[in-house]
Amino acid sequence: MAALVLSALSYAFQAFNSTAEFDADGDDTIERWDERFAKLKEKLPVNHGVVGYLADFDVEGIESSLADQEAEYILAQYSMAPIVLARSTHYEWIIGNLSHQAYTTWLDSAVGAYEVTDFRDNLYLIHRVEP
Amino acid sequence: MTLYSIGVFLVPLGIGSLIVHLLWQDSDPKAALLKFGLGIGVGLGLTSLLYFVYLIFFAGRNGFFTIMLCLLAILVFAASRNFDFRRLSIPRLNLTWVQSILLAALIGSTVLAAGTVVNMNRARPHGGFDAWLIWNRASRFIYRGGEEWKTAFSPEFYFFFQADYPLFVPLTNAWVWETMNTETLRVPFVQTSIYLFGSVFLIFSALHFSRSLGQATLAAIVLLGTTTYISVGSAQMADTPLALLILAVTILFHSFSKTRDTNLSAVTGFTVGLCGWAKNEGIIFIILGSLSFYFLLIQERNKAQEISRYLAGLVLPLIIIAYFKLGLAPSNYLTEGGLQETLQHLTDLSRYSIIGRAILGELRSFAGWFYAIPMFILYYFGMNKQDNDGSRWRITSIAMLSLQILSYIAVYVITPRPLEFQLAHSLDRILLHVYPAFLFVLFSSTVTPETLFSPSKIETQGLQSGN
Repeated sequence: MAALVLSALSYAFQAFNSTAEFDADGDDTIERWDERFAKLKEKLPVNHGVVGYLADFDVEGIESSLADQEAEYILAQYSMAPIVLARSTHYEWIIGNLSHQAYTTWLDSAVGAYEVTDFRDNLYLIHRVEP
Repeated sequence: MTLYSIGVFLVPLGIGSLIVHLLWQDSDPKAALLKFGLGIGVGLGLTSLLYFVYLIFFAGRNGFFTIMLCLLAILVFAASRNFDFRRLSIPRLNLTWVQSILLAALIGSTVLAAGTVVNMNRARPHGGFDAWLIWNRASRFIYRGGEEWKTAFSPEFYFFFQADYPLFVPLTNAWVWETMNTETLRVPFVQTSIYLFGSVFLIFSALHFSRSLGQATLAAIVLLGTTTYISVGSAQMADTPLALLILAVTILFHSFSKTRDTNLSAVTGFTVGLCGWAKNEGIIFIILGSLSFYFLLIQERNKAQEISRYLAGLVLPLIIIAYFKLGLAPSNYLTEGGLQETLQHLTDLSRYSIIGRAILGELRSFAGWFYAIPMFILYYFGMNKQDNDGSRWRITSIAMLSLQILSYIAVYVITPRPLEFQLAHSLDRILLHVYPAFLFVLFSSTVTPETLFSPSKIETQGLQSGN
């Protein structure tokens, strides 16, 4: 019984001690992504429903880390709620989260006509004007 | 903002506690604490279910909180009619030295755990990875979506967003945000803290009611000292709500087997149903919990009456889960592989070996402790009360919780996703679903600190527990 109590207390103390070292300002990654997408969201004439999502891992010939790309996709989806980001370019509106190289590669190979608004920071709002 | 959130959350907690109180009219003051503990899951679950129904008919319109306030007022009125205010008194604490030491340790553990939760929330205000991948993302879709809230279940979601997951936690965030008219991060923080500390309170109140203050304190200290339970519980995911509900069901089974109070059957049925509203794993628990309840009733004369009350409690969550799963939610990832792949996985022995190794690894480090499981098993056999009373409840509970774990193993065997990744990502977390319930069984079956350090009190303990 004493061993149980002492173990529990010591683990509770260890947990507190290890988390006390966490950054007191917190991880602001999500806030930065919310901010990054805020202007694009204002411009997007869709308040809900589905839009396309295009990132480096969708562009042929561009090398990228799958884990990083998936993490960025998840962050983008979290920020863009309540709009669903489908990994496809078959939508009228597409959000491009692309490095410069990936953007130019995609643009060179894209079929159809598009209007692109560059929000800087590798973020593009792509409007498909012709199928 | 935190206090405002807590104030709003008090309404469902009040609703749940009063429903349990009205159904289970035990006048023992210790029962009042237990009723409040059981009311946490009932209240938050009921408001979440009712908000789902509200959204179907009135999405985009405010007014849900007013309805909840009216419901609370009705329940307060109903409860106060039979309440004898003359019996209200502050219980005198006459603590033994063992109880005093344990209570001091409990206060220390609570402060440390609260500090850990606050530290983790400061570092990760949006919760753990799964929280913003699944639960808080769904909350944002429902709250921000207004009339278009059903977009949260779009089949266009990429598979890893798990848009088919049940809505207990997301809907609770959404309705509290709607009430507060702001999407504050305090709401998921307060919600996750309620489940975490609520399960500690529940195990404490149940053992205080059925065993002794010392035993209740001991169990609460162990749960608060469980590192992974605290970290998962502060990560704003749906694992601790499910753990709280499974704990509540195990406690209700225990109370039912002692009191044979037929009204407890309805509360049990409702709580079992809520498990399926918290997580997909809870849907398996609906089957196991219902079979276990039937097993508890085998020697019962009024079996039909008990079952009908149980089903009356189960029906609301069951209908809503069925409507959500069949009418709104996209298909679950387990169906991706198809029958052929499932059969292939079932006959692939290497998968069993990988799962076995992962479970053996958990034996060593489960709960963030060094060999916690062997330590608990040793404690169980070393400190067992060695009576046969309540053995049906004990066997039923252990079988139910073990089968729940077996069902998780079965899911790992057939999963179409990379097995090692899924094991590494979820095994320790999902084992926590049954952990508080196992602790309750453990501390219900072992001698109390009071008995151990003062053998003359054995009779008193026995009477108190009825165990």
